[in-house]
Amino acid sequence: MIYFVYVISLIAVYGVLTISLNLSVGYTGILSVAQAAFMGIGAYSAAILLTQYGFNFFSTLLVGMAAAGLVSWGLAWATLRLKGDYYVIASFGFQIIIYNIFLNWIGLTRGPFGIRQIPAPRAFGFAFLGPVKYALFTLGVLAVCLWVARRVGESPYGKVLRAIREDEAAAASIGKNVSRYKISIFMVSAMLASVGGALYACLITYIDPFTFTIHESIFILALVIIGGSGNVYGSVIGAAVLISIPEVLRFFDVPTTVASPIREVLYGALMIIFLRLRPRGLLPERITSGAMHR
Amino acid sequence: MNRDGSFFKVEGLSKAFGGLHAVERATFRVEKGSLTSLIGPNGAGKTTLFDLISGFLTADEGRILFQGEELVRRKPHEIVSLGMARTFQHLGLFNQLSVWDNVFLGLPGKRRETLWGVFLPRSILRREERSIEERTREILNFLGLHEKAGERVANLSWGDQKLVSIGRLLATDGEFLLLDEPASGLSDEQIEHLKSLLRGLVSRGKTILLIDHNMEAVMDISDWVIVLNFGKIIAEGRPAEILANEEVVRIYLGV
Repeated sequence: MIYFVYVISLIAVYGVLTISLNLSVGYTGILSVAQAAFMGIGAYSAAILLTQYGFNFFSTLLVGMAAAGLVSWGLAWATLRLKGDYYVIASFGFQIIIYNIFLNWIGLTRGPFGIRQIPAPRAFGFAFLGPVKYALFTLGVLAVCLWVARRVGESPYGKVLRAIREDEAAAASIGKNVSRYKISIFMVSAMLASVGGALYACLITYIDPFTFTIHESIFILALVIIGGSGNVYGSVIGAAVLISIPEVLRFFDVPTTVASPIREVLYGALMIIFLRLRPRGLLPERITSGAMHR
Repeated sequence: MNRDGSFFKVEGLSKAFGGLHAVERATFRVEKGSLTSLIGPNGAGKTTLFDLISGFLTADEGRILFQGEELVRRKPHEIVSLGMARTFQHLGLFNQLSVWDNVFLGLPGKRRETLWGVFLPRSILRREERSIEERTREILNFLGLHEKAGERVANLSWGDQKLVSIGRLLATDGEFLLLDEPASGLSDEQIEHLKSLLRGLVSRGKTILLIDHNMEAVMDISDWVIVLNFGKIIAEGRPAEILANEEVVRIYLGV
Protein backbone atom coordinates (compact mmCIF):
# COMPACT_ATOMS: atom_id res chain seq x y z
CA MET A 1 0.00 0.00 0.00
CA ILE A 2 2.77 2.42 0.97
CA TYR A 3 4.58 1.57 -2.22
CA PHE A 4 1.44 2.27 -4.25
CA VAL A 5 1.09 5.67 -2.57
CA TYR A 6 4.75 6.38 -3.33
CA VAL A 7 4.11 5.64 -7.03
CA ILE A 8 1.14 8.02 -6.95
CA SER A 9 3.44 10.75 -5.59
CA LEU A 10 6.03 9.99 -8.25
CA ILE A 11 3.38 10.22 -10.98
CA ALA A 12 2.24 13.57 -9.59
CA VAL A 13 5.82 14.88 -9.52
CA TYR A 14 6.44 13.79 -13.08
CA GLY A 15 3.03 15.13 -14.04
CA VAL A 16 4.23 18.57 -12.93
CA LEU A 17 7.50 18.16 -14.83
CA THR A 18 5.72 16.98 -17.98
CA ILE A 19 3.22 19.83 -17.87
CA SER A 20 6.11 22.25 -17.48
CA LEU A 21 7.80 20.96 -20.63
CA ASN A 22 4.51 20.75 -22.51
CA LEU A 23 4.17 24.52 -22.17
CA SER A 24 7.29 25.10 -24.22
CA VAL A 25 7.32 22.01 -26.47
CA GLY A 26 3.61 21.40 -26.96
CA TYR A 27 2.16 24.88 -26.84
CA THR A 28 4.98 26.88 -28.39
CA GLY A 29 7.07 24.41 -30.39
CA ILE A 30 10.30 25.10 -28.49
CA LEU A 31 11.90 21.67 -28.50
CA SER A 32 14.14 21.66 -25.44
CA VAL A 33 16.21 18.91 -23.86
CA ALA A 34 17.18 20.92 -20.79
CA GLN A 35 14.18 20.36 -18.52
CA ALA A 36 16.16 18.21 -16.09
CA ALA A 37 18.51 21.16 -15.56
CA PHE A 38 15.62 23.34 -14.35
CA MET A 39 14.27 20.41 -12.34
CA GLY A 40 17.72 20.18 -10.74
CA ILE A 41 17.79 23.88 -9.93
CA GLY A 42 14.49 23.48 -8.05
CA ALA A 43 15.62 20.29 -6.37
CA TYR A 44 18.95 21.71 -5.19
CA SER A 45 17.34 24.97 -4.05
CA ALA A 46 14.92 23.02 -1.89
CA ALA A 47 17.51 20.51 -0.65
CA ILE A 48 20.15 23.10 0.28
CA LEU A 49 17.76 25.59 1.88
CA LEU A 50 15.83 22.92 3.79
CA THR A 51 18.82 20.95 5.09
CA GLN A 52 21.34 23.73 5.71
CA TYR A 53 19.35 26.88 6.35
CA GLY A 54 16.08 25.62 7.79
CA PHE A 55 13.93 27.44 5.25
CA ASN A 56 10.21 26.92 5.01
CA PHE A 57 9.40 24.65 2.02
CA PHE A 58 7.32 27.29 0.27
CA SER A 59 10.17 29.80 0.57
CA THR A 60 12.48 27.27 -1.06
CA LEU A 61 9.94 26.88 -3.86
CA LEU A 62 10.01 30.63 -4.45
CA VAL A 63 13.81 30.72 -4.40
CA GLY A 64 13.98 27.77 -6.80
CA MET A 65 11.45 29.37 -9.14
CA ALA A 66 13.32 32.66 -9.05
CA ALA A 67 16.64 30.92 -9.78
CA ALA A 68 15.14 28.82 -12.60
CA GLY A 69 13.36 31.88 -13.99
CA LEU A 70 16.55 33.91 -14.01
CA VAL A 71 18.68 31.16 -15.55
CA SER A 72 16.01 30.38 -18.17
CA TRP A 73 15.76 34.06 -19.05
CA GLY A 74 19.52 34.11 -19.71
CA LEU A 75 19.33 30.93 -21.77
CA ALA A 76 16.30 32.13 -23.71
CA TRP A 77 17.82 35.50 -24.41
CA ALA A 78 20.97 33.85 -25.74
CA THR A 79 19.45 31.00 -27.72
CA LEU A 80 15.77 31.36 -28.59
CA ARG A 81 16.56 33.15 -31.83
CA LEU A 82 18.08 29.90 -32.99
CA LYS A 83 15.78 27.81 -35.11
CA GLY A 84 14.73 24.16 -34.75
CA ASP A 85 17.66 21.75 -34.57
CA TYR A 86 20.11 24.47 -33.62
CA TYR A 87 18.07 25.33 -30.55
CA VAL A 88 17.87 21.65 -29.52
CA ILE A 89 21.66 21.45 -29.66
CA ALA A 90 21.99 24.68 -27.65
CA SER A 91 19.63 23.35 -24.96
CA PHE A 92 21.65 20.13 -24.90
CA GLY A 93 24.79 22.20 -24.27
CA PHE A 94 23.05 24.08 -21.48
CA GLN A 95 21.93 20.80 -19.89
CA ILE A 96 25.55 19.59 -19.86
CA ILE A 97 26.77 22.85 -18.29
CA ILE A 98 24.21 22.74 -15.47
CA TYR A 99 24.90 19.06 -14.82
CA ASN A 100 28.60 19.84 -14.48
CA ILE A 101 27.87 22.69 -12.09
CA PHE A 102 25.83 20.30 -9.91
CA LEU A 103 28.66 17.77 -10.07
CA ASN A 104 31.63 20.06 -9.49
CA TRP A 105 30.43 22.89 -7.24
CA ILE A 106 31.02 20.68 -4.24
CA GLY A 107 30.90 23.53 -1.70
CA LEU A 108 27.27 24.17 -2.65
CA THR A 109 25.87 20.87 -3.94
CA ARG A 110 28.21 18.33 -2.27
CA GLY A 111 28.85 17.11 -5.83
CA PRO A 112 28.70 13.35 -6.30
CA PHE A 113 28.07 12.79 -2.57
CA GLY A 114 24.64 14.28 -2.96
CA ILE A 115 22.38 15.78 -0.29
CA ARG A 116 20.69 13.41 2.16
CA GLN A 117 17.85 13.56 4.62
CA ILE A 118 15.83 16.18 2.83
CA PRO A 119 12.83 16.78 5.10
CA ALA A 120 9.18 16.68 4.12
CA PRO A 121 7.52 20.02 3.44
CA ARG A 122 5.95 21.93 6.29
CA ALA A 123 3.36 24.62 5.94
CA PHE A 124 1.45 26.61 8.52
CA GLY A 125 2.69 24.37 11.31
CA PHE A 126 1.60 21.25 9.45
CA ALA A 127 4.18 18.74 8.20
CA PHE A 128 3.38 16.60 5.17
CA LEU A 129 5.05 13.64 6.83
CA GLY A 130 4.33 10.12 5.67
CA PRO A 131 3.55 8.79 2.22
CA VAL A 132 -0.19 9.49 2.22
CA LYS A 133 0.08 13.12 3.29
CA TYR A 134 2.90 13.70 0.86
CA ALA A 135 0.95 12.06 -1.98
CA LEU A 136 -1.99 14.36 -1.23
CA PHE A 137 0.36 17.31 -1.18
CA THR A 138 1.94 16.44 -4.56
CA LEU A 139 -1.51 15.84 -6.06
CA GLY A 140 -2.56 19.26 -4.80
CA VAL A 141 0.46 20.89 -6.46
CA LEU A 142 -0.26 18.92 -9.64
CA ALA A 143 -3.84 20.23 -9.62
CA VAL A 144 -2.60 23.82 -9.32
CA CYS A 145 -0.12 23.29 -12.18
CA LEU A 146 -2.87 21.75 -14.31
CA TRP A 147 -5.10 24.74 -13.63
CA VAL A 148 -2.32 27.19 -14.55
CA ALA A 149 -1.38 25.31 -17.73
CA ARG A 150 -5.00 24.96 -18.82
CA ARG A 151 -5.65 28.60 -18.20
CA VAL A 152 -2.57 29.51 -20.24
CA GLY A 153 -3.65 27.18 -23.04
CA GLU A 154 -7.18 28.54 -23.29
CA SER A 155 -6.20 32.20 -23.04
CA PRO A 156 -5.48 34.57 -25.94
CA TYR A 157 -1.86 34.42 -24.74
CA GLY A 158 -1.94 30.65 -25.31
CA LYS A 159 -3.45 31.16 -28.76
CA VAL A 160 -0.52 33.39 -29.68
CA LEU A 161 1.86 30.68 -28.45
CA ARG A 162 0.17 28.17 -30.75
CA ALA A 163 0.36 30.63 -33.62
CA ILE A 164 4.10 30.96 -33.00
CA ARG A 165 4.38 27.17 -33.02
CA GLU A 166 2.60 27.06 -36.39
CA ASP A 167 4.59 29.83 -38.10
CA GLU A 168 6.86 32.27 -36.29
CA ALA A 169 7.23 34.63 -39.24
CA ALA A 170 3.48 34.78 -39.74
CA ALA A 171 2.97 35.55 -36.04
CA ALA A 172 5.49 38.39 -36.31
CA SER A 173 3.74 39.63 -39.45
CA ILE A 174 0.57 40.29 -37.45
CA GLY A 175 2.40 42.27 -34.81
CA LYS A 176 3.24 39.62 -32.23
CA ASN A 177 6.55 40.11 -30.45
CA VAL A 178 7.67 36.50 -30.93
CA SER A 179 10.84 36.77 -28.82
CA ARG A 180 8.93 38.17 -25.86
CA TYR A 181 6.35 35.38 -26.00
CA LYS A 182 8.97 32.68 -26.32
CA ILE A 183 11.06 34.04 -23.47
CA SER A 184 8.06 34.43 -21.16
CA ILE A 185 6.68 30.90 -21.70
CA PHE A 186 10.17 29.43 -21.48
CA MET A 187 10.57 31.09 -18.09
CA VAL A 188 7.18 29.81 -16.88
CA SER A 189 8.13 26.34 -18.10
CA ALA A 190 11.46 26.46 -16.24
CA MET A 191 9.83 27.75 -13.05
CA LEU A 192 7.25 24.96 -13.04
CA ALA A 193 10.04 22.43 -13.66
CA SER A 194 11.82 23.79 -10.58
CA VAL A 195 8.63 23.13 -8.57
CA GLY A 196 8.66 19.55 -9.87
CA GLY A 197 12.32 19.30 -8.86
CA ALA A 198 11.62 20.50 -5.31
CA LEU A 199 8.78 17.99 -4.95
CA TYR A 200 11.06 15.26 -6.26
CA ALA A 201 13.80 16.12 -3.76
CA CYS A 202 11.38 15.93 -0.82
CA LEU A 203 9.85 12.69 -2.10
CA ILE A 204 13.11 10.79 -2.58
CA THR A 205 14.79 12.63 0.37
CA TYR A 206 18.13 12.36 -1.41
CA ILE A 207 19.47 13.99 -4.55
CA ASP A 208 22.70 13.88 -6.48
CA PRO A 209 23.70 15.26 -9.90
CA PHE A 210 23.16 11.93 -11.65
CA THR A 211 19.40 12.41 -11.54
CA PHE A 212 19.52 15.64 -13.56
CA THR A 213 21.15 14.43 -16.74
CA ILE A 214 20.24 14.54 -20.40
CA HIS A 215 18.59 11.11 -19.91
CA GLU A 216 16.12 12.67 -17.52
CA SER A 217 15.43 15.54 -19.93
CA ILE A 218 14.74 13.08 -22.74
CA PHE A 219 12.57 11.00 -20.42
CA ILE A 220 10.42 14.06 -19.63
CA LEU A 221 10.24 14.82 -23.35
CA ALA A 222 9.08 11.23 -23.94
CA LEU A 223 6.30 11.75 -21.39
CA VAL A 224 5.16 14.84 -23.30
CA ILE A 225 5.16 13.05 -26.66
CA ILE A 226 3.49 9.87 -25.44
CA GLY A 227 0.93 11.75 -23.34
CA GLY A 228 0.05 14.16 -26.13
CA SER A 229 1.99 17.23 -27.08
CA GLY A 230 -0.11 20.34 -26.45
CA ASN A 231 -2.58 18.59 -24.14
CA VAL A 232 -1.94 19.12 -20.42
CA TYR A 233 -4.14 16.21 -19.38
CA GLY A 234 -2.11 14.09 -21.75
CA SER A 235 0.96 15.07 -19.73
CA VAL A 236 -0.55 13.55 -16.59
CA ILE A 237 -1.65 10.42 -18.49
CA GLY A 238 1.80 10.13 -20.07
CA ALA A 239 3.45 10.39 -16.66
CA ALA A 240 1.04 7.84 -15.18
CA VAL A 241 1.65 5.32 -17.97
CA LEU A 242 5.41 5.62 -18.22
CA ILE A 243 6.02 5.75 -14.47
CA SER A 244 3.71 2.86 -13.60
CA ILE A 245 4.47 0.39 -16.42
CA PRO A 246 8.10 -0.24 -15.40
CA GLU A 247 7.08 -0.40 -11.75
CA VAL A 248 5.26 -3.62 -12.65
CA LEU A 249 8.71 -5.19 -13.09
CA ARG A 250 9.17 -4.96 -9.33
CA PHE A 251 6.49 -7.58 -8.82
CA PHE A 252 8.50 -10.08 -10.83
CA ASP A 253 11.72 -11.54 -9.67
CA VAL A 254 13.87 -9.32 -11.90
CA PRO A 255 17.23 -8.22 -10.47
CA THR A 256 17.74 -4.44 -10.28
CA THR A 257 20.70 -4.63 -12.65
CA VAL A 258 18.41 -6.13 -15.27
CA ALA A 259 15.27 -4.12 -14.48
CA SER A 260 16.96 -0.81 -15.11
CA PRO A 261 18.08 -1.58 -18.68
CA ILE A 262 14.69 -3.19 -19.39
CA ARG A 263 13.04 0.05 -18.30
CA GLU A 264 15.25 2.06 -20.67
CA VAL A 265 14.50 -0.32 -23.55
CA LEU A 266 10.80 -0.11 -22.78
CA TYR A 267 10.87 3.70 -22.85
CA GLY A 268 12.77 3.71 -26.12
CA ALA A 269 10.42 1.19 -27.71
CA LEU A 270 7.34 3.11 -26.57
CA MET A 271 8.77 6.33 -28.01
CA ILE A 272 9.34 4.68 -31.39
CA ILE A 273 5.91 3.03 -31.39
CA PHE A 274 4.14 6.26 -30.53
CA LEU A 275 6.07 8.41 -32.97
CA ARG A 276 5.35 5.86 -35.69
CA LEU A 277 1.73 4.94 -34.94
CA ARG A 278 0.28 7.68 -32.76
CA PRO A 279 2.43 10.79 -33.14
CA ARG A 280 -0.14 13.00 -31.44
CA GLY A 281 0.06 10.92 -28.27
CA LEU A 282 -2.47 9.25 -26.00
CA LEU A 283 -4.53 12.42 -25.59
CA PRO A 284 -4.08 14.53 -28.72
CA GLU A 285 -4.26 18.30 -28.53
CA ARG A 286 -7.79 19.61 -28.78
CA ILE A 287 -8.27 22.51 -31.12
CA THR A 288 -10.91 24.75 -29.58
CA SER A 289 -11.76 26.06 -32.99
CA GLY A 290 -13.73 29.22 -32.95
CA ALA A 291 -15.49 28.46 -29.70
CA MET A 292 -16.08 32.16 -29.36
CA HIS A 293 -17.60 32.72 -32.77
CA ARG A 294 -20.86 31.07 -31.91
CA MET B 1 -2.18 61.98 -58.82
CA ASN B 2 -0.07 64.00 -56.44
CA ARG B 3 3.06 61.95 -55.88
CA ASP B 4 4.73 63.79 -53.01
CA GLY B 5 5.71 60.51 -51.30
CA SER B 6 4.89 61.66 -47.79
CA PHE B 7 2.99 58.44 -47.08
CA PHE B 8 5.56 55.82 -48.03
CA LYS B 9 8.88 56.00 -49.81
CA VAL B 10 11.90 53.85 -50.43
CA GLU B 11 15.22 55.53 -51.19
CA GLY B 12 18.31 53.84 -52.58
CA LEU B 13 17.46 50.51 -50.99
CA SER B 14 19.93 47.68 -51.58
CA LYS B 15 20.28 44.12 -50.40
CA ALA B 16 22.84 41.58 -51.51
CA PHE B 17 23.21 37.91 -50.64
CA GLY B 18 26.90 37.26 -51.15
CA GLY B 19 27.58 38.28 -54.72
CA LEU B 20 23.91 38.36 -55.70
CA HIS B 21 22.33 41.82 -55.70
CA ALA B 22 18.72 40.94 -54.91
CA VAL B 23 17.67 44.58 -54.66
CA GLU B 24 19.85 47.38 -56.00
CA ARG B 25 19.33 51.07 -55.21
CA ALA B 26 15.56 50.82 -55.41
CA THR B 27 13.75 54.14 -55.09
CA PHE B 28 9.99 54.56 -55.32
CA ARG B 29 6.95 56.06 -53.62
CA VAL B 30 3.49 54.85 -52.76
CA GLU B 31 0.66 57.32 -52.45
CA LYS B 32 -1.90 57.13 -49.68
CA GLY B 33 -5.14 55.55 -50.83
CA SER B 34 -3.64 54.03 -53.98
CA LEU B 35 -3.16 50.50 -55.25
CA THR B 36 0.41 50.15 -56.46
CA SER B 37 1.67 46.95 -58.05
CA LEU B 38 5.18 45.63 -58.12
CA ILE B 39 5.78 43.39 -61.11
CA GLY B 40 8.75 41.61 -62.61
CA PRO B 41 9.91 38.19 -63.70
CA ASN B 42 10.68 35.43 -61.20
CA GLY B 43 13.81 36.27 -59.22
CA ALA B 44 13.47 40.00 -59.89
CA GLY B 45 13.66 40.78 -56.16
CA LYS B 46 9.99 41.56 -55.47
CA THR B 47 9.57 39.37 -52.39
CA THR B 48 12.99 40.44 -51.09
CA LEU B 49 11.77 44.01 -51.35
CA PHE B 50 8.65 43.06 -49.34
CA ASP B 51 10.84 41.35 -46.75
CA LEU B 52 12.96 44.49 -46.45
CA ILE B 53 9.95 46.77 -46.11
CA SER B 54 8.24 44.56 -43.52
CA GLY B 55 11.37 44.07 -41.41
CA PHE B 56 12.04 40.39 -42.15
CA LEU B 57 15.32 41.36 -43.82
CA THR B 58 17.64 44.25 -43.04
CA ALA B 59 18.77 46.45 -45.90
CA ASP B 60 22.47 46.87 -46.60
CA GLU B 61 21.86 50.51 -47.46
CA GLY B 62 19.06 52.92 -48.19
CA ARG B 63 16.01 54.18 -46.35
CA ILE B 64 12.38 53.14 -45.99
CA LEU B 65 10.08 55.85 -44.70
CA PHE B 66 6.49 55.20 -43.66
CA GLN B 67 4.61 58.34 -42.65
CA GLY B 68 7.93 59.91 -41.72
CA GLU B 69 9.14 56.92 -39.65
CA GLU B 70 12.33 55.15 -40.66
CA LEU B 71 11.67 51.40 -40.92
CA VAL B 72 15.15 50.02 -41.57
CA ARG B 73 16.29 47.92 -38.58
CA ARG B 74 12.83 47.89 -37.06
CA LYS B 75 11.44 44.50 -36.12
CA PRO B 76 8.41 43.12 -37.98
CA HIS B 77 6.04 43.50 -35.00
CA GLU B 78 7.12 47.12 -34.53
CA ILE B 79 6.36 47.84 -38.17
CA VAL B 80 2.89 46.32 -37.79
CA SER B 81 2.25 48.59 -34.83
CA LEU B 82 2.99 51.57 -37.10
CA GLY B 83 0.13 50.52 -39.39
CA MET B 84 1.70 48.31 -42.05
CA ALA B 85 1.07 44.60 -42.50
CA ARG B 86 1.78 41.94 -45.11
CA THR B 87 0.76 38.56 -46.46
CA PHE B 88 3.10 35.84 -47.66
CA GLN B 89 3.33 34.05 -50.97
CA HIS B 90 3.09 30.75 -49.04
CA LEU B 91 0.25 32.31 -46.95
CA GLY B 92 1.83 31.41 -43.60
CA LEU B 93 -1.51 30.63 -42.01
CA PHE B 94 -1.86 28.94 -38.65
CA ASN B 95 -3.07 25.73 -40.24
CA GLN B 96 -4.04 23.83 -37.11
CA LEU B 97 -6.14 26.73 -35.81
CA SER B 98 -9.61 27.68 -36.96
CA VAL B 99 -10.54 30.37 -39.46
CA TRP B 100 -11.92 32.39 -36.54
CA ASP B 101 -8.69 32.11 -34.57
CA ASN B 102 -6.54 33.08 -37.54
CA VAL B 103 -8.46 36.31 -38.00
CA PHE B 104 -8.97 36.86 -34.25
CA LEU B 105 -5.21 36.60 -33.68
CA GLY B 106 -4.57 39.33 -36.23
CA LEU B 107 -6.43 41.89 -34.12
CA PRO B 108 -4.12 43.89 -31.91
CA GLY B 109 -4.18 42.51 -28.36
CA LYS B 110 -3.38 44.49 -25.30
CA ARG B 111 -3.82 43.10 -21.83
CA ARG B 112 -5.58 39.97 -23.00
CA GLU B 113 -2.55 38.64 -24.88
CA THR B 114 -0.01 39.15 -22.12
CA LEU B 115 1.08 36.51 -19.66
CA TRP B 116 -0.53 38.57 -16.89
CA GLY B 117 -3.74 38.64 -18.90
CA VAL B 118 -3.99 34.87 -18.36
CA PHE B 119 -4.59 35.43 -14.66
CA LEU B 120 -6.75 38.52 -14.83
CA PRO B 121 -10.43 37.86 -14.05
CA ARG B 122 -12.36 37.22 -17.26
CA SER B 123 -14.84 39.95 -16.34
CA ILE B 124 -12.06 42.55 -16.69
CA LEU B 125 -11.09 41.33 -20.13
CA ARG B 126 -14.63 40.76 -21.33
CA ARG B 127 -15.20 44.27 -22.74
CA GLU B 128 -11.94 44.13 -24.70
CA GLU B 129 -12.84 40.64 -25.94
CA ARG B 130 -16.30 41.71 -27.07
CA SER B 131 -15.05 44.44 -29.36
CA ILE B 132 -12.43 42.10 -30.81
CA GLU B 133 -15.01 39.39 -31.40
CA GLU B 134 -17.28 41.91 -33.07
CA ARG B 135 -14.47 43.03 -35.37
CA THR B 136 -13.59 39.40 -36.21
CA ARG B 137 -17.21 38.75 -37.13
CA GLU B 138 -17.26 41.86 -39.36
CA ILE B 139 -14.15 40.76 -41.24
CA LEU B 140 -15.43 37.22 -41.73
CA ASN B 141 -18.74 38.56 -43.02
CA PHE B 142 -16.95 40.99 -45.34
CA LEU B 143 -14.94 38.11 -46.83
CA GLY B 144 -17.88 35.69 -46.89
CA LEU B 145 -16.12 33.31 -44.50
CA HIS B 146 -18.51 33.43 -41.57
CA GLU B 147 -19.96 30.00 -42.33
CA LYS B 148 -16.48 28.52 -42.16
CA ALA B 149 -15.40 30.29 -38.97
CA GLY B 150 -15.05 27.08 -36.96
CA GLU B 151 -13.21 25.09 -39.61
CA ARG B 152 -9.58 24.25 -39.28
CA VAL B 153 -7.67 26.27 -41.87
CA ALA B 154 -5.76 23.21 -43.11
CA ASN B 155 -9.09 21.78 -44.33
CA LEU B 156 -10.01 24.77 -46.52
CA SER B 157 -9.57 25.15 -50.28
CA TRP B 158 -6.64 27.24 -51.55
CA GLY B 159 -8.99 30.06 -52.50
CA ASP B 160 -10.53 30.18 -49.03
CA GLN B 161 -7.10 30.05 -47.45
CA LYS B 162 -6.16 33.12 -49.50
CA LEU B 163 -9.22 34.88 -48.15
CA VAL B 164 -8.25 33.93 -44.59
CA SER B 165 -4.80 35.42 -45.16
CA ILE B 166 -6.43 38.64 -46.32
CA GLY B 167 -8.79 38.52 -43.34
CA ARG B 168 -5.87 38.19 -40.96
CA LEU B 169 -4.18 41.08 -42.72
CA LEU B 170 -7.27 43.27 -42.36
CA ALA B 171 -7.53 42.33 -38.71
CA THR B 172 -4.21 44.07 -37.99
CA ASP B 173 -6.04 47.29 -38.87
CA GLY B 174 -3.01 48.43 -40.87
CA GLU B 175 -3.64 51.22 -43.32
CA PHE B 176 -0.81 50.11 -45.61
CA LEU B 177 -1.21 46.52 -46.81
CA LEU B 178 1.40 44.49 -48.66
CA LEU B 179 0.02 41.52 -50.58
CA ASP B 180 2.38 38.93 -52.04
CA GLU B 181 0.81 37.16 -55.03
CA PRO B 182 -2.79 37.05 -53.82
CA ALA B 183 -4.09 35.90 -57.23
CA SER B 184 -1.78 32.94 -57.73
CA GLY B 185 -3.58 29.62 -57.91
CA LEU B 186 -7.04 31.19 -58.03
CA SER B 187 -9.73 30.50 -60.64
CA ASP B 188 -10.95 33.27 -62.97
CA GLU B 189 -14.05 33.68 -60.85
CA GLN B 190 -12.02 33.93 -57.64
CA ILE B 191 -9.69 36.45 -59.29
CA GLU B 192 -12.67 38.64 -60.17
CA HIS B 193 -13.81 38.44 -56.55
CA LEU B 194 -10.30 39.32 -55.37
CA LYS B 195 -10.09 42.31 -57.71
CA SER B 196 -13.32 43.80 -56.45
CA LEU B 197 -12.24 43.04 -52.87
CA LEU B 198 -8.96 44.90 -53.29
CA ARG B 199 -10.56 47.88 -55.03
CA GLY B 200 -13.14 47.90 -52.24
CA LEU B 201 -10.39 48.10 -49.65
CA VAL B 202 -8.79 51.03 -51.47
CA SER B 203 -12.11 52.83 -51.62
CA ARG B 204 -12.36 52.30 -47.84
CA GLY B 205 -9.10 54.22 -47.43
CA LYS B 206 -6.52 51.43 -47.39
CA THR B 207 -3.29 51.73 -49.35
CA ILE B 208 -2.10 48.58 -51.09
CA LEU B 209 1.24 47.48 -52.47
CA LEU B 210 0.77 44.31 -54.46
CA ILE B 211 3.02 41.71 -56.05
CA ASP B 212 1.43 39.53 -58.71
CA HIS B 213 2.17 37.75 -61.96
CA ASN B 214 -1.35 38.02 -63.33
CA MET B 215 -0.79 40.96 -65.69
CA GLU B 216 -4.42 41.30 -66.67
CA ALA B 217 -5.54 41.62 -63.06
CA VAL B 218 -2.65 43.91 -62.14
CA MET B 219 -3.28 46.29 -65.04
CA ASP B 220 -6.98 46.24 -64.34
CA ILE B 221 -6.88 47.31 -60.71
CA SER B 222 -3.62 49.23 -60.24
CA ASP B 223 -3.26 52.99 -59.99
CA TRP B 224 0.49 52.76 -60.41
CA VAL B 225 2.84 49.99 -61.53
CA ILE B 226 6.52 49.54 -60.68
CA VAL B 227 8.60 47.10 -62.73
CA LEU B 228 11.56 45.34 -61.18
CA ASN B 229 14.17 43.31 -63.05
CA PHE B 230 17.35 41.80 -61.58
CA GLY B 231 16.80 43.86 -58.43
CA LYS B 232 16.55 47.20 -60.23
CA ILE B 233 13.52 49.32 -60.94
CA ILE B 234 13.42 49.62 -64.71
CA ALA B 235 10.10 51.42 -65.16
CA GLU B 236 7.15 52.87 -63.30
CA GLY B 237 3.97 54.58 -64.32
CA ARG B 238 0.26 54.19 -64.88
CA PRO B 239 -0.81 50.77 -66.22
CA ALA B 240 -1.27 52.07 -69.78
CA GLU B 241 2.21 53.58 -69.74
CA ILE B 242 3.73 50.33 -68.52
CA LEU B 243 1.91 48.33 -71.19
CA ALA B 244 3.35 50.67 -73.80
CA ASN B 245 6.89 50.41 -72.43
CA GLU B 246 9.04 48.47 -74.88
CA GLU B 247 11.57 47.28 -72.32
CA VAL B 248 8.82 45.87 -70.09
CA VAL B 249 7.25 44.10 -73.05
CA ARG B 250 10.63 42.68 -74.01
CA ILE B 251 11.26 41.37 -70.48
CA TYR B 252 7.84 39.81 -70.19
CA LEU B 253 7.43 38.50 -73.70
CA GLY B 254 11.08 37.96 -74.53
CA VAL B 255 10.79 39.76 -77.86
